[in-house]
Amino acid sequence: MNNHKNIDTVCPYCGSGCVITCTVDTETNRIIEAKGSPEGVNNEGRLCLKGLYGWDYLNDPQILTKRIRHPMIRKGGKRSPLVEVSWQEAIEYTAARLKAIIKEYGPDAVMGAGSARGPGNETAYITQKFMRAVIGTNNVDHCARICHGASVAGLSQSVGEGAMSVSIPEIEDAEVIFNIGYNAPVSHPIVARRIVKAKKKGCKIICVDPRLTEMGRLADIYLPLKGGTNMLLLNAMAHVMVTENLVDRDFIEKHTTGFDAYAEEIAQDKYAPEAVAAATRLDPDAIRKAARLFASSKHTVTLWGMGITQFSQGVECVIACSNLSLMTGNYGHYATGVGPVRGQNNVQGTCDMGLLPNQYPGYQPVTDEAVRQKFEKAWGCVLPDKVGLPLTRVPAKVLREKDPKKQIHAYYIIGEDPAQSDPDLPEIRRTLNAIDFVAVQDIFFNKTCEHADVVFPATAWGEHDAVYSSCDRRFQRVRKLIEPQGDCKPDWEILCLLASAMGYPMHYHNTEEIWDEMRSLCPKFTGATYEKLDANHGIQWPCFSEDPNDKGTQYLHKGAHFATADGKGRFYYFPWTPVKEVESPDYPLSLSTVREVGHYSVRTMTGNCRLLVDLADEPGYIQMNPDDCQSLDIADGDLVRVISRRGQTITRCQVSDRVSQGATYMTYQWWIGACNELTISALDPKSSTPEYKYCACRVEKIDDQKQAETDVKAQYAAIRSRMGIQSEGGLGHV
Amino acid sequence: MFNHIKTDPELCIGCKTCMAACVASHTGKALFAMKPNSFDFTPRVHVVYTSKITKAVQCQQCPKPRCLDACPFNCISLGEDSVVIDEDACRGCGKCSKACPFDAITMTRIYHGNTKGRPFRIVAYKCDLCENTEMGKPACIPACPTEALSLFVPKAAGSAGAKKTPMKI
Ligand code: SF4
Ligand code: SF4
Ligand code: SF4
Repeated sequence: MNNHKNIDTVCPYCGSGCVITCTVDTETNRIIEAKGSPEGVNNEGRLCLKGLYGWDYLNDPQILTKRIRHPMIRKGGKRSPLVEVSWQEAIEYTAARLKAIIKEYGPDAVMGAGSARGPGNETAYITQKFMRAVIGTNNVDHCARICHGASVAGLSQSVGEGAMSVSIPEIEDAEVIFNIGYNAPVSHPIVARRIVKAKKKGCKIICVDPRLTEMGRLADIYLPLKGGTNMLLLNAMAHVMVTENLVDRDFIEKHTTGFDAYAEEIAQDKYAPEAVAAATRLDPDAIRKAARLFASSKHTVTLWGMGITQFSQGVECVIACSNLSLMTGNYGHYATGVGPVRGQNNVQGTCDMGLLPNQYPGYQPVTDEAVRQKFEKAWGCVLPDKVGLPLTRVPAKVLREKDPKKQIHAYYIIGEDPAQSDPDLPEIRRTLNAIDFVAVQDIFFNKTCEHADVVFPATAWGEHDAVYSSCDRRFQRVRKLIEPQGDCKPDWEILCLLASAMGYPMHYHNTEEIWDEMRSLCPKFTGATYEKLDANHGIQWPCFSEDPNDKGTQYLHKGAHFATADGKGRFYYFPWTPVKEVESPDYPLSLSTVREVGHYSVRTMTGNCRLLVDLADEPGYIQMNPDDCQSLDIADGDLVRVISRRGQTITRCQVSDRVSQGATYMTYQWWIGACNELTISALDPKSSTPEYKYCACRVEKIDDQKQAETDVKAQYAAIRSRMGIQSEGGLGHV
Repeated sequence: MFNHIKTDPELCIGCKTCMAACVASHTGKALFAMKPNSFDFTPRVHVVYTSKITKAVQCQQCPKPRCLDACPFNCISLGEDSVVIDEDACRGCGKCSKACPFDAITMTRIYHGNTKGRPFRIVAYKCDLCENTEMGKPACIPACPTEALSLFVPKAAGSAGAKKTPMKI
């Protein structure tokens, strides 16, 4: 078997950053096997099912959709079929359309969405450079907007750095874990590994979640709060710490500002645990116990996920979490601090690389004159000084903006599928149909491609080199495993071709050249050379110096010197803001979106992996309380109709006594049971992150189950044929 | 007493990696070149979620198996190292599955392989410790991300019992 080669790379799924050893058959150009690499700092040789079997989509088995292999354009205009064309024709067509739109409406009529998935940091850097230097707008964003956007904004305000302060291996040595709105066992199994290891070592766990998740089951104190009342609980915990004098006076004095004014607000009687008990539906004693436990250690690690950020009060709740760490001295040393655990494999990286409307790479503000001049000099052009548009504001800028000069007329989408992932899909479809020009660069034909005027075939993870940033700021090398088939090109190459066609010559020989240009412009990343990434199992930023001895930063804010201007952590007080849409007689249930462990993002990748599809497939399910099911006369496994003010969908009922009465949960991976047909596009005013975690819905029984089953099969077949698959298949095991 | 697999419910996070690993090990590497839907997804371990417990469940290879007594067609026997179901002979009546105190047998419809000339056949599947696979030893143990699974070796444990031998990965 001398045609077998072992290559170490990084998993393309969650942000845990697991290192995988892939065995590749170079003769057949296929991956044979994947194993966890013991070299992986975060995974210690282990992987979850996605890492072990999730590479199968590279074989293109065409289960849900299929790989795009050639550039395509709609020659006959909107709604005409996509036809395969040469690269030259597709690039020239796109360049001409973009130039015409910029000429007529200005550069701010163009919106760019980058990819936090397969392409990696070099493409992310090129994407924002393309939007800023070539198009001339800061309208560039990516999916952090719809997930941890609130963490980046909130933590920047609180402690000056919007990333995990703690590293994944440190979690194992925590004495207390405060886990709120985060379900590592499904979103990051390898982070969950550290949590259960910590528990074995005696760590106490507090879990806050309206649903009894695996984390809730493993917790010492489980707080099943009513969805949407995070701020009340966080303020009540702070109230206990302040009024019972559990705070760290010395730390507060030396390292923070604003505590007194904050403490005065928090001490109000309305935040006593007894006073918030009714609204949060929590036992006041349990709140007090949780607050005391949190404050009892200098090794308390706070972990949160979408259960904090995907609310219209996300940013403020992030700050409220950080307040608890600040007032108990839980920042700035080993095994302490905060962990907003990033979801997608490279969503930390796309923030690092400035795929954000307000920041250049390296978290440098676009509004800072000196910074802008630095980038203008390096890129040889004039750059816009106005903060750009967050991608969740695109629908408003298309459907509700009346002045054509201020509308979005072109949407350039790389490796994202807003027609599946964004809230209120009926509105997203209206938006995509109304935009003059939509360009998509992807590996799979997806729902957004159906609205695209041009589609570019990109190489996938496994077909190119890159660097990913794990959720704990670790830059790691990602390697090409197999040769791409067809006409696919790396995303950064496609953008370089387009830039050159638009009159801004861009050319790089390889990803290292891009990386080196990026490093030269970002002080926080300057020291992270490819060479050092190879020599040190990756490098955690900040890493300022190229000196081989600068091996990066394991935890942030060492010695409690915060990354804010004056080096201090800041307290801010916020009152509670309720969710935007509550239950009503017509829509008596609440709906929250959650995750499925074996599937990822919009499911183009995992939906095309044999083993993962067989574990869980369309039309997905809605988790419901047994009493609710009984009163609706529906049983486990029944197909049901779920309806909200936005739309409706069909899915299977999953009866679970881990769910409280009146609450329902759907995972956002399913194309038939697509929960985003139902979700609301209400946004956090500060981070523009949607309120995926709360809206009102109703569930209806379907009398003719047999017919419904047939309909679901037909829907699956229809989706597959719309995606261009000719062969039979789909839903085989359902 | 035979070797068997134990799950630590304090470590199990319910991620089903063990189930996928089980199918991969029994179907073999050829799986990734097969047409989707041309093989049966028949995990011999499954994850149980109750209101209090989450736990992967495998056959405990009982010394006096109730499943064996329950099978009306004598398809279950004591093998050299484990309790063995003759899957080709199995008639799919489900009596063993009902008799097993651990709920370790899954009755699964198969559409491929030996369906005895019919479109599908129901077969009793349970953990066989991967004895007849390429790997030859339990695939779920090294696959579990939290190391919740271990091989219980009664001989090594001695009469005092309760000693687990973690398997090398
Ligand atoms: S935990 Fe995340 S990074 Fe690790 S194998 Fe699973 S999906 Fe991949
Ligand atoms: S792989 Fe491990 S943690 Fe996951 S369900 Fe199986 S036993 Fe539990
Ligand atoms: S199937 Fe059940 S009864 Fe039979 S040997 Fe296994 S654990 Fe015992």
